[in-house]
Amino acid sequence: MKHSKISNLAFTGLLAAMALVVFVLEAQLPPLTPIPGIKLGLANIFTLFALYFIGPMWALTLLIVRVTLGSVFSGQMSVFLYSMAGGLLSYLIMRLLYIRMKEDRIFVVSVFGAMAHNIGQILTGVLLMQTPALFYYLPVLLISGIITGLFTGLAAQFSIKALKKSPISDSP
Amino acid sequence: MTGRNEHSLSALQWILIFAGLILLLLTVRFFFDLSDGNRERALILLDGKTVRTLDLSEDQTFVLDTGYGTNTIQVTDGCVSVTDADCPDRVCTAHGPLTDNSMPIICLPHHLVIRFEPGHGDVDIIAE
Amino acid sequence: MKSRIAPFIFILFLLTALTGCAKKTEPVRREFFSMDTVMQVILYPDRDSDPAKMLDLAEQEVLRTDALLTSAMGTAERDSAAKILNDSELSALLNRALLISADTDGAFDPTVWPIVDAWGFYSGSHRIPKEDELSALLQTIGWEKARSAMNASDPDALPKLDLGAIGKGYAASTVKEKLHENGVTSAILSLGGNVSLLGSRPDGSDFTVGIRDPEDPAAYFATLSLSDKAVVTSGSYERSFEQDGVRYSHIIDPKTGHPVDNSLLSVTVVADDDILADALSTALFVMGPDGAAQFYQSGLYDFDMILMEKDRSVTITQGLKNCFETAETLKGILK
Repeated sequence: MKHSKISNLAFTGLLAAMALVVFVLEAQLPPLTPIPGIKLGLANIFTLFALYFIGPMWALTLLIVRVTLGSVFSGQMSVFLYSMAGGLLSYLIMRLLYIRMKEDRIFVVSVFGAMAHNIGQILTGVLLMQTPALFYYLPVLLISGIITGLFTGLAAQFSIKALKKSPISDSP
Repeated sequence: MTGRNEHSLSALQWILIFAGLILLLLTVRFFFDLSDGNRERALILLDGKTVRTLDLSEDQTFVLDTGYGTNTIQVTDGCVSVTDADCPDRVCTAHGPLTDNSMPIICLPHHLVIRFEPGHGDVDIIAE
Repeated sequence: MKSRIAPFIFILFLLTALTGCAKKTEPVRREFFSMDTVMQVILYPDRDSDPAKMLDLAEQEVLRTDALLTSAMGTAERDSAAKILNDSELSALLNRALLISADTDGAFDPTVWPIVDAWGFYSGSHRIPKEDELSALLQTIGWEKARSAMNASDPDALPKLDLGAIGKGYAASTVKEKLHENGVTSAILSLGGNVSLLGSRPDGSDFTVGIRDPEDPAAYFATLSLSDKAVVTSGSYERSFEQDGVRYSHIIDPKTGHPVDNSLLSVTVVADDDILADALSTALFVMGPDGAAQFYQSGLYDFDMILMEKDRSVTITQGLKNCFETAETLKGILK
């Protein structure tokens, strides 16, 4: 990375702000399906973007800021624990895959990240509500994770590809 | 950005793997016992504890105060559904009527689960 | 590739929509709230009796028992202590409770109430009492004190009592008696999860009783085919709280004043007598798996039991061999 620490900080802040807006907007949409936990997860585009474009630690910062403020802004404090558990597990998996996967395979990283996110949410639900029956949702949630992960992953991948080509990429 | 090996799998191969995974998960989902549960009676669980059992042959509508917020629960024609709720996501109202125990009605913000009483009707009562 | 996935999503939602709701009614049921828990009466009516009247009868009897026990509850006051000793029904019940205390060597003890209260299980505001607080409380309790107070007819010497410890068992026995007197031959009671069976199904076959899975509130791990029996399960899952990563169950060992912490997840007692089943399910849980097995083998009481341990292994007793079914691993059958 050629960018200085300060420009990275500024860039992460910018991405966090955009991720927040997208997260809050998405929370306003009516639920896609009657299954808790299924959503597009558009905010993850920014995490992936930060992971590949700025660096892993910045992506983690972005994630924590987005989940914390997102829960406050969308008035969904009650689901903060679910988002955080899902987000951190997802980050862990993506961080590990990041070591192996190049920028033309971000969609793979994203799919596994989305699946990890849903597993993290289910685990939190089972622990918090003491209801192992939630595991029944796992296959459906994983399928949704594959599809939405593919979508957000490709979005991040194309953005990075486009930005890398543009002259501003060296001085964000 | 260095140190990453050349990819051993092509993009297309990955897509095929994901498609296969979806098929596998669908099969797993299919093998969950969809008929599980006694369809005449539903349980309302808060934090994993049964707070109420519903006889689905009796039509009724009531507002349940979960301690985290309220959910309006309706029983009509042998089906139970959540018709209104003051939770932020309202996933529970989008669920529609409860159809099988692999898809319980869940309101995460209110820690609420609604599902059929266990048993295929062959168990008369549960000791707990 | 989107179009390749779309059909799967479509199939998925078709699958979930396929199953509908159905209804079918047979027995009459009533559910009501009493003794801080849900009471359920299921009755298979025959031609002669009026089912609604029988349900009323059952409900009233439970409410009467609840009121009776509540009047004797708390009992710091001299009045209620005197009431227990003077009321023939209450003193007979206390006498019964103390007999079981003696036979279980104090594992069941109706005087443990103040310690359960100190842990906050009555108020719901859970706390961990200090050791000196517990040892002071331990000095004040003990079924022997209640026994000698009873023998001396001295209400002042009667320690605080909770007859509610066998309240549901007692209510079940009186309700069954009332129903039986009125010609009901087939009924199921579930008083806060304590199951009591009157007779058998109308066709003469056994009732099927599921035993709640201690680790899944919406499932059962075993079934029993029985008639005319009481089935009572005790487990730490019923009421417990967690603090600093330690789980404290509401079942208190009367000897230590601490919540029971042994390898048991739940104990189920099957007996003819409702009060015995109720008291023993608590006592055997306190005794732990080895103590419970020894107690069973002592032959002091006629009962059967199902022990489920934290490794999910299940132990049953001889009498259940032919009516018990489970998908869990059966560790052994006690003789």
